[in-house]
Amino acid sequence: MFSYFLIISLCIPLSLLSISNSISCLIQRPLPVLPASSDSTYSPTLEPEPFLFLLGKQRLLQAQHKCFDRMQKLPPYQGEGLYCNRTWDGWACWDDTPAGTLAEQHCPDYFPDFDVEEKVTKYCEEDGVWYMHPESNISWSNYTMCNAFTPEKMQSAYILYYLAIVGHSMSMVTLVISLAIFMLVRSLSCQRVTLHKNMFLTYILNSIIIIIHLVEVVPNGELVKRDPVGIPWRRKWQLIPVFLPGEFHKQRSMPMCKILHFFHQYMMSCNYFWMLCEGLYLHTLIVVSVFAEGQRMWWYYLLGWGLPLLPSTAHAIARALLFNDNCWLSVDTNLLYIIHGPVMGALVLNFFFLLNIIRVLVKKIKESQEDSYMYLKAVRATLILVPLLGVQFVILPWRPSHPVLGKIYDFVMHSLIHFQGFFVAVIYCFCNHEVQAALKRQWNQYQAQRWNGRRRAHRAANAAAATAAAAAALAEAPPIYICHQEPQNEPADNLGEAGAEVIPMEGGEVISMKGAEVIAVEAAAEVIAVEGAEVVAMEIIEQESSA
Amino acid sequence: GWRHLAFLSPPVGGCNEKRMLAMLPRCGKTFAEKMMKVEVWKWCNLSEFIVYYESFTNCTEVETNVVGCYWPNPLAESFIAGVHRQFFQNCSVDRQDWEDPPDEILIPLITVPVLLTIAMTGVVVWRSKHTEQVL
Repeated sequence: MFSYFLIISLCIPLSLLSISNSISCLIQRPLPVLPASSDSTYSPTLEPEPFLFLLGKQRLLQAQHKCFDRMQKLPPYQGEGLYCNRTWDGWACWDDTPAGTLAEQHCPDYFPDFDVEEKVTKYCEEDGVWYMHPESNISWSNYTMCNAFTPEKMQSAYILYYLAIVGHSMSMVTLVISLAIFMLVRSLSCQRVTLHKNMFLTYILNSIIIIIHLVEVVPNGELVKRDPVGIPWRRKWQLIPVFLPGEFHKQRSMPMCKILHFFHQYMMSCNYFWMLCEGLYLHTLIVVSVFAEGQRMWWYYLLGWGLPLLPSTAHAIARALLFNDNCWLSVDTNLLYIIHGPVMGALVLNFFFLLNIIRVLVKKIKESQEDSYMYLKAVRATLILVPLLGVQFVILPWRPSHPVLGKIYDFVMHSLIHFQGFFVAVIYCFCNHEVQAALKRQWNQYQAQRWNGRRRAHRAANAAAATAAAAAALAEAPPIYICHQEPQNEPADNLGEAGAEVIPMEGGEVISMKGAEVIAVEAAAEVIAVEGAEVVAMEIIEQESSA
Repeated sequence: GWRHLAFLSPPVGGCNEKRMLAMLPRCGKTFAEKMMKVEVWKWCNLSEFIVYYESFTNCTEVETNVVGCYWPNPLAESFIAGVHRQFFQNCSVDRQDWEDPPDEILIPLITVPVLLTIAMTGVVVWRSKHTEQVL
């Protein structure tokens, strides 16, 4: 029944990014052999060996040392009657137990396939002697539950691990593309887009740090499919694997993983604080009615980049002084609330801002103000995203214990959490009609540049000039769904029916206040001819480039 | 491997406890010699001498199994406890366990950032209203 050491006999090359020791193939080996000469120049630390083997052994020895210490320091048995003596059974420490009771404790974490959530039991017989296994007549503790379910758990742990990596990679790719779009398409620059850009940046950095963490922590490369290494998933807030190989060698000298942990916490806080900035901006725009481009951005930069520094540094200092465990990976400490408290506070504040915005908009719609629909559409994206980001903190503590439901829960929560950046990019950028319109415009311009329209240019020049001028003027006005534009501030144009009027239509937003050039093109096409439309587009390009 | 070794069943023939008690002190002596090379103030930090402790443990296992006993057994345990008394009497028990600080420190540490967040947000909201009046 203890033959699961076979699971350890795998070949898992561990290539570590930031740790200098590279550790070779993990194979089952006999007891580590001491160096032949134990002279004073030899430092009494463990020689570099297959890492998990080493880590488990170190933990075992520490537990044994602690057990014997504890056994001699605990006071003698206080209760009455027969009891089984305190003992070290080779893996775990057992206190004096009354006769006839079943002592239990959590499984040790020496082996990758031991689940620490499971329990190991040891029965004290009625005559004050520990239970002896009938076959071998040795006192025996029941460790079978520790790795009974391990293959399935490891499999689902691996699925979640890959899900995390895929999620963050996809998020990073989509975010980088969105960021590029926002930065390169000039018609999309306004204050709200600046907020989007900053938020996307925090998500990108967060994903980079998490991917580094994931890749460093779990062995990469050729993973044996049958029996993967166990990944302890007992984390409440951070669903990434726990141990960082090699760190125990250099507990004193390698603060790298702590620095990484600090940046990870900082970036995560920045995510949520920039989300708060978005909500705050919309609130100021709609409820307080400060008009667009009139707000001072540096307050938002301070709130988004500066404020998260405070809880992150406080947590780092508190952790270093009061709970300086290995790599700060432990989640059993309330010190984590130093970071999660403000983050949850930001989420709650954001939620209230959005409620307020909805209240004001509903009031305005009831008063039948036309531009309220427009505001509602601008707010729609944020309304979807805030609950999406917040659900992680609200629902995560209540994981169902039922095995199938628990697995479904894990899968859904991991998908939501690791694909957050992807959702943000898609909702704020790709699904946004203004962005789509701007991209289409760019594409049309690019297409038009290839056409040779010298002959047609002459004919269409006059009509095109007027429309192009108006269109260029309108093109300076940012599109309405990303960037707010007060209706009275829009410049007057001579296009009449296709002007600055907002026409909210179900699914017809494509036609209503989209890129002005498209309308200009369509209007101009009616004036001249269909084949002149491309020429008009060309003229607009020339106008824009000269403006 | 080492995991397997901890639970070898004794060969048939029973356990020669007297022999075991005679052989175990050799392990203790070797360990003591090696511990003399480690500075005394490091004796409470296991990571300083973990290899010596490991070889001591293995030695006791081997000696126990050689005479036909299983490991661990009560006599071997009391021997190891004796060695512990000799070297680690004055060490505090929980050195590796970390504990949360008391509430008097923890609660301000948590509430101050939360309050700062709310305050800062309020300041930004207030300033944005103020900006409108200025403009």
